[in-house]
Amino acid sequence: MSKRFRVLVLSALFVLVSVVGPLWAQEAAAPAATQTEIAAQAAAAPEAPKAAATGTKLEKAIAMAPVGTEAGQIDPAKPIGFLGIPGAPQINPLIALLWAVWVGWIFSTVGAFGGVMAGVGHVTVFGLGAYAKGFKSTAPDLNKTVTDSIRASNQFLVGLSALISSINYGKMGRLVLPLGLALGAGSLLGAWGSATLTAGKVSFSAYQGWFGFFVLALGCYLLWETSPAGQAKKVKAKQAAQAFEAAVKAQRTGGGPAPTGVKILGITFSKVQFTFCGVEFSFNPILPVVGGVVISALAAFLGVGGGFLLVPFLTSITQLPMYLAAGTSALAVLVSMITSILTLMTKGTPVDWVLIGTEMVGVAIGSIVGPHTSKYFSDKLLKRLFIILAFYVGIDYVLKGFFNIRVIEMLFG
Amino acid sequence: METLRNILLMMDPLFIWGFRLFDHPWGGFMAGLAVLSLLCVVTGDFTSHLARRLNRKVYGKYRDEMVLQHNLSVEALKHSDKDAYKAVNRQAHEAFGKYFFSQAGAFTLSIWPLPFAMAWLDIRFGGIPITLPFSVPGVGDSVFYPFFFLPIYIAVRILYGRIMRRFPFYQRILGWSKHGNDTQMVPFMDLLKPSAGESSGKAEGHAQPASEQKGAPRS
Repeated sequence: MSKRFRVLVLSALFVLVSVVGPLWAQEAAAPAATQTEIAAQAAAAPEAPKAAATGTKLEKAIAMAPVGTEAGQIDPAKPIGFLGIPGAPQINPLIALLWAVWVGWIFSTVGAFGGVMAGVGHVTVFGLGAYAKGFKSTAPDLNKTVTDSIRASNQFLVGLSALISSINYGKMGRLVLPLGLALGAGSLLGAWGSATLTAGKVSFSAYQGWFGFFVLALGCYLLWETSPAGQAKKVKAKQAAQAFEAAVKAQRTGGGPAPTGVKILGITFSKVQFTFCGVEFSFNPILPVVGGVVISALAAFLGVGGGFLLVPFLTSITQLPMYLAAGTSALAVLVSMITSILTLMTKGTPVDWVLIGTEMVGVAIGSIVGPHTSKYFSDKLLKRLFIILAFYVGIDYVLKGFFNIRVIEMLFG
Repeated sequence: METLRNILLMMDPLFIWGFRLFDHPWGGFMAGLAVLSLLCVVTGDFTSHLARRLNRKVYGKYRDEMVLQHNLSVEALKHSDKDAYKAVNRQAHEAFGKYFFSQAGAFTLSIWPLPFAMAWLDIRFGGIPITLPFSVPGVGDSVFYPFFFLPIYIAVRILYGRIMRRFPFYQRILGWSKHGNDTQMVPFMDLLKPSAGESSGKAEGHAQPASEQKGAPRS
């Protein structure tokens, strides 16, 4: 592990611990346990299973919800479901696994859309969205707590990618330290600010609306990519790359070896200009910080990964090579992911570990199957499929979240 | 999900024995967490290597493409060809995306037991405050089980990797699940060396093989 990476990781950890230190700290009102209690608990025979994650916040939210058999009420006689709440949706482990296989398959074939599908699974397929929404007027705290749990669950799935790349690419010293620090600081601030300001305050409807808005934007981007203009740009880059590869193979690249090293041409608050091997590069140093804040705040709020936004952002503003962009952005995403998950959990957001574990296995299976099966589907066909999905999910979630209108009802009455 | 929780409860004797290794409360608790972490790490490592072995052809293809495009982008910079650099870099990013997500699956298989361990710990220790012998600034003197479990899991994972690599049989497992050819990525730092210009003349037109990149880490 390179020294720079070690310093960066330690600095990030220090800041993280300072910010999210109160995590796992016991609330003052709770009685303190003695050490003997630990052993006693450990030695005791397994008791009847309690709620998957009975955070104090969840218990309070459940206690404040009206008791009854109707929608928006909690019926203690019903079997416990999601997060150990009586009457909450019973998530079938097989469906959870299969949906996660689909998420993993998308991750490995398309990339960005996996996070969206993870969200759709939690919200629609597992029925958690409708369940949370049912408490909108009767028990707003429960509505918001379940919403936060959905956000945290999404982030556990998509945040894995950041962890993987941080470890792999950080070990290789593929980090641009000043840029990594700027992005990391921005990400920490953005994710912490976003999670702190929104934890326990976002109703499911608002979350669904904004999630839909994000999916629509993603759909528009995918549509542009498949448009003649988007395709032409891609084909042009491919041709230029192939032409250069052919020239290198034929050793006809022309000219002698380029000048080596970095030469700084000028540094101002708005522009850093330098040459690398005689090629001129420039970027605005404020942009990485602002970009880090905005992207991580958005990712933390929606419960999606930020890597797919951060890598193109880095590449376009600094023209950073893949070798460095991947590692540098990964660390920023990792800081953002850990910060937002820990901040949410600090605020008492409960997490269903069994569900997360089942989904993780599914994502792994899908990611492994994906590369083998994607050859049977053309890139174009896959993109078009996801454009349709993105527009359907985006429009449906925006209308449902902000206006309480269902697309199917609107179309077919 | 209740079925899975019941399965976890059925496996309770397997998970709990580590907690009974020592009579001392703290000793037993820490030993139990360490044993549970080791169980997670070994199970995850086994499934991850199995997945890498089964997918080595696909992973190798993705990796080789990524390395080729990256090395070409370095070559483009060596020739001060910005247009070629931008084009090849774009291709390298695409290849990276494919390789990255393929590795994500394999990595996920190495940590899948962790959430299930958390679920079992939650059944056993969830909501039980643990009093620390001293107060930690920003945390206080009372914490929950993840405060100990996550750092122990990370430490066990790092130690396991370092220790196992010393054994020849584990080296064989690593070789068994290895993918891609031996070509390594050319570090950009090479372009900063004064001799890079001269050496680029010698190696012109070729992605440098691993043998020329001694010590370069494999992904």
